[in-house]
Amino acid sequence: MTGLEQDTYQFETDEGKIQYATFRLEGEFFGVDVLRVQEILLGQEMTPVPLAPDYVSGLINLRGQIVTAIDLGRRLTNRPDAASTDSNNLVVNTGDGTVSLLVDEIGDVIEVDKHLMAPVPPTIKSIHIEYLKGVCKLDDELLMVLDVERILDNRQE
Amino acid sequence: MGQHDDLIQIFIEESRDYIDLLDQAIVKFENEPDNKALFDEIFRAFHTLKGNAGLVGMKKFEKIAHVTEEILTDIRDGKIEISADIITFLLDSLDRLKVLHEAIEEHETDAGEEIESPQAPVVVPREATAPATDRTEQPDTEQAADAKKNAPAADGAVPDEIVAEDGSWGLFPENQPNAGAPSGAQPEEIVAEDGSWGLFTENISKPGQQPAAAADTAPPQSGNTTPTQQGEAKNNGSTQKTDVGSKWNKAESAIRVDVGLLDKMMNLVGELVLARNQIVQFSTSQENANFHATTQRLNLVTSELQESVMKTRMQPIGNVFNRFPRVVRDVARDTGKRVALKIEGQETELDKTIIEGIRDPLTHLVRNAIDHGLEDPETRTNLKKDAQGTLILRAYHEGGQVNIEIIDDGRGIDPEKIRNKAVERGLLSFDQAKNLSDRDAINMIFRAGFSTAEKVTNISGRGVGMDVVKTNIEKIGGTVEIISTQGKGTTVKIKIPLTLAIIPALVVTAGSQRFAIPQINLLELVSLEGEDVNAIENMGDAEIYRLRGKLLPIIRLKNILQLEDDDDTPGDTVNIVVLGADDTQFGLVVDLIHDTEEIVVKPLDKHLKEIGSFAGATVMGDGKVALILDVVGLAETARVALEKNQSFADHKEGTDLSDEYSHTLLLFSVADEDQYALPLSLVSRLETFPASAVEQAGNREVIQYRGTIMPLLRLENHLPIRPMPQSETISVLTFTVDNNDVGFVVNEILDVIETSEKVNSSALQQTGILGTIIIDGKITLLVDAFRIIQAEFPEWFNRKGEDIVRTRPRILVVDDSHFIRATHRAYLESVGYQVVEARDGEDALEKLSSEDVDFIITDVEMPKMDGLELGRNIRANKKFGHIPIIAVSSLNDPEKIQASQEIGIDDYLIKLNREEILSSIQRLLEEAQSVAA
Repeated sequence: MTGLEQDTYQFETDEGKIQYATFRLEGEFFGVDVLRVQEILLGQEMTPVPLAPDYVSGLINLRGQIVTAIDLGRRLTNRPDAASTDSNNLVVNTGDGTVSLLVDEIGDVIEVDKHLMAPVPPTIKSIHIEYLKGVCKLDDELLMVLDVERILDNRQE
Repeated sequence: MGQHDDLIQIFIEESRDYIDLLDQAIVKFENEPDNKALFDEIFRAFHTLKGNAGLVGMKKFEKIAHVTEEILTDIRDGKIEISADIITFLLDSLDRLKVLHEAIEEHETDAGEEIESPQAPVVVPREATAPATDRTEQPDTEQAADAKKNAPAADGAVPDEIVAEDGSWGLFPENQPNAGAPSGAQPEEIVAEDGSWGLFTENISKPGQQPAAAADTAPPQSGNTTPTQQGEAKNNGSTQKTDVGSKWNKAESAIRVDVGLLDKMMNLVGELVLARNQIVQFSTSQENANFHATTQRLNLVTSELQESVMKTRMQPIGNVFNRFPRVVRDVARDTGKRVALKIEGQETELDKTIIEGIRDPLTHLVRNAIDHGLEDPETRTNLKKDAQGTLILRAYHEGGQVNIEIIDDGRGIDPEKIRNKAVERGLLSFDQAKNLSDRDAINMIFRAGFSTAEKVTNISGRGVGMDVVKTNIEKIGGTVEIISTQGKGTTVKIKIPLTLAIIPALVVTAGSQRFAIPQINLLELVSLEGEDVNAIENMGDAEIYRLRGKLLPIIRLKNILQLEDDDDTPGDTVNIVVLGADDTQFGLVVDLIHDTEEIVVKPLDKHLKEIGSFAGATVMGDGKVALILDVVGLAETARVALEKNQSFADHKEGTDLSDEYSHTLLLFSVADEDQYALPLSLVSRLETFPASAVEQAGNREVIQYRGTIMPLLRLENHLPIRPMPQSETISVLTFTVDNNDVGFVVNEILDVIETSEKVNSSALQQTGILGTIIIDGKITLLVDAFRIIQAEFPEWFNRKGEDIVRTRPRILVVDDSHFIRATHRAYLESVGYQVVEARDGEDALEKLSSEDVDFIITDVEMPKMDGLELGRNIRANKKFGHIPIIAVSSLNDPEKIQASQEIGIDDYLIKLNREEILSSIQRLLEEAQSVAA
């Protein structure tokens, strides 16, 4: 569980700040620990995997490495439509290897004070909160922090 | 310190070789106690281990090796007799060394290991004067400490001698006293001078060293024995020299390479193969001849490189097999069984990772075979078997795969027991278990939660079940299967690929997506064109294709993977990829078949692995990702799908079973295992004759029967089936056609059953076959006996030519089942009626308007227009409203019966009963005639 250790470490960087790579999905604002992000790609050629769970968009060829693309819209929200083929790929490293998260729009990397982190309010309806690690109360909106390890966890179903 | 670490690494490597060698040699020695060469080998190995351990300061290791060597010395000197206890002692020592070896491998020291020197066996001294206890007792700690203290002195005496003999070794003995902290520079120097890893081997063969050590640890008579020992050690040393020399030659042409490096090379070659594939593909769109030539060259070199790198990872399976003499010996001893182990094909080469992967499963299977498979000597003798059981370990290449077989001649597996246990464990329902074939039942033991051992023994009941064995074998891409004959023995058959990383694969397209199929599963390709496209037949919910007379289940890749179908129109070509997985074969229908390519297998994420249909993914020449089909998984997915369909179908039948006739069928066989059926109502009699009663008349077989000569027909002459084996008696099914008797020769009459199983006949057009039906899970062909008789004796069906039309009544048979129609036709024609067939009410009305019909037999439940509606239509028609109608249905519905009477249907019969129908027809025809008259 090196991934988790890494996360713990992340929360305790200097000056109690955490950096998040942000993105938007269905209008909501999300963040991932920036050190987990390997790269960002646009519109990758995707090979669909028959019989796979619907949140798996397919496989992409990342310089010879085969990476599973996760339709985050389907995983995180109840969006019925599959992600479009020209979605942004947020390639992240997890304990189980590299995956690509398909998101609507890539945002900036932002730095957040640690003390702004709060548990996920159970009132959030539109998002499957079991995949969130917590939320960050920013000035103008709520940043939802993704638990990358859980996104891939089949047992969540 | 770096050099010391290197030394330890070398020590670890080399000791492993010696330990492996000893493992085999000692067990072999037990059977060949007079083999001097073998003894010397064992002696030298322990000696070397002792010396090496001393050099790197592994004191415990050294001590054990030393104590063992002492005993061996006594054996060599004739002071101790070789006995089973001695062998056990040697093996025990070796086991302790193994434990220490593991510890050293892990911590680079044996200091932390709580391990004692082995208890020396009680031995019978040959020399009465030699106090055996002292001689053989292990040195206690104090003595060992003494040894160390004394060592410097002893060594101090010899260095000159050593240097004189071999200049490069002078530094070493000095090293030994402080072996715990050897000086860093020396080993390097030695390695450099020797240019090989053999330094330890060489070193220990130095005379002087061994005697010194021996002297230390053999306190009482050491003074007496040392000189002779020394002398012998010298001799020994010289013979060893030559050995070492040959070993060195080997060393010069072979080097040790870190496996990690090989793995990395393999990965890189994988990448290179991908790049090569892409360039080759790209080159096809290029004109430049130079580029083509270079590409060609790149192609060749890459292939060769790939092959070479793959070879570096190949190891003989003997590396695994070699441990089994020991395992077998131990298990046999523990279980009180006698086992002769035969090892075949140990030179068969396999990828290193695979070799490692099969080690544990094989050990488990071998233990199992002895513990559960073989009987104890007493039982075997009672069974008139050789008291010594035989266990064969066999490896061989076959079609790019390696087969490993573990064969015992023990008691075999009782499938009945397995069935009971499976039910007991709740793995199967009673019915499922009952329907399981013996073979499937036996292979149940690979299911999780299944342990065949009635009592868990120390040997096999190690918490590792056969399911783990199977999982482990599957992990390396292999399959495992058990074939067992009760009382005769069991064969476990493992099939594994040679290598995992790069495999040849066939690329196919289905639903606009490409898939790779490992060549290893590929049996053949079948392409159906034009008319042949319809050769795929339906059987229940499944599709089958007849491949050279065998029924091949058909799986459509598009359906099984639920791929979107971009074009729904059936093409003019059907491509079938015939695949073999385990021992089942099936045809996979794909849209397009491309070339075979070398592909690099990349694993899938764990949540995609669970799908089961894919073995991995690969990057194709154009850079796109393609999935690799897992043929075994696919077959399983298909089976599940089929079973689902099946149960759905069952359910459907269950709710309106009445819609179906229940047929009474006679089951029989022609060749050994096949099964055929025909409606019992068509058969006149069943007879058995001695084969000798068959006579030849003209070109026909006949038999005297009921005072006449009855011709005999053989089904194999009319159907594409295997001929009947010779036997002393023959079974004959007799049929009567227009007062002529004819007999069908069959091998065995199996059973008469009542079944409501659906007959599948729509797609079967072959003359002589009515359709297929599944009985007890077996595909059974329904034989159209009357068609076959007609083919043989057309005159029985067409006597009197032209005036048939008026003299023999024509009967219209209306039924949506081809089988039922054919059945009606068979017995109706046999008594002289003519038959016209119609598929449903609408079809019947059409036939009535164009054909002259005297009588109508109709089903009640039919698509389009049912029997009652048909009756209504007929009765309303002026032209043919008078024709007698009988409705035949298993539907015993009073409402329908009443309705049929109101409509004017003359008779309503509940079951397809030949006699009843015939008498009803006769009565109604006579009535009709009398009315007409």
